[in-house]
Amino acid sequence: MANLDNLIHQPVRLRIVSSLSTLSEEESLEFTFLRDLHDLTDGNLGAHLRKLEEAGYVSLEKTFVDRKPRTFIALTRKGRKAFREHVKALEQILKDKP
Amino acid sequence: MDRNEAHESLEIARQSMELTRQAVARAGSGYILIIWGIVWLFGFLGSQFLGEAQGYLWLVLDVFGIVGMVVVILKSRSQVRSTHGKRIGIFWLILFVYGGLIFWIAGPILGDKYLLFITVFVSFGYVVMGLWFSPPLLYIGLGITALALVGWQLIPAYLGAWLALVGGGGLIASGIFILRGRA
Repeated sequence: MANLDNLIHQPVRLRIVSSLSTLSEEESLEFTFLRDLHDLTDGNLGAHLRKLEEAGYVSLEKTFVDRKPRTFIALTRKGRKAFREHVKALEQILKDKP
Repeated sequence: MDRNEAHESLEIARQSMELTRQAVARAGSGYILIIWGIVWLFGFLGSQFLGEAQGYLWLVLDVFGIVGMVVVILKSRSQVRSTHGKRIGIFWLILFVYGGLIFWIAGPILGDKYLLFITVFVSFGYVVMGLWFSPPLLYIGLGITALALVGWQLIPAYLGAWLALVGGGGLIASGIFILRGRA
């Protein structure tokens, strides 16, 4: 029986994790790309990413592209598993409750 | 959690996933399809109308295609990082090597069959790419192959112009379709 994940359940974090789940394990999204995609502010996205990073659900890599600092965000294996479980749990609720 | 909340959460997840897929596609593949569509369109029009001089045109167009593709890849790399790009590059390189080998072994492939061979072979590449990571490319590849064969059978005298239209036009239209976020 799959369990709901309280960390992922928060709507903004659900959007972030859902977006990252569409990529393969070797892929990552740039911070501003993710921010603009979901119409978030730097502070808002940063705060949610910190919580996800602390749980081990996302990994952040700071690097330089064309001499500009960039942060790339990827969903970890643990995060991917937690998201799958969360979606399963949601689907189970739809099946079980009339 | 009740049923409505669960449904709402699943809908948020589904919409976010769709939005991301479209944005990632817009970051690269839409422009790449348009660039190669232009190469294809003018290249095959040259094959239809320019005769011997078409070789120079293809050379110029191929350089334009490769430079344009590299620029798009470098630009999208600052938004989405992926190891797919390298694998896709290696795949196309290997595909063209095999195309050359088949051409050499089975040749001579001349005239209409040469144009058709290039079209079907490149379409095969799109089919593989579609199966690999982007379903719209599968349909583009299959569609161009089918229409190319129809043109070969029905209007062989205008095959170059037909392939320019269905191949080049098809790729440009598909690129615009992806950029508008419908694919």
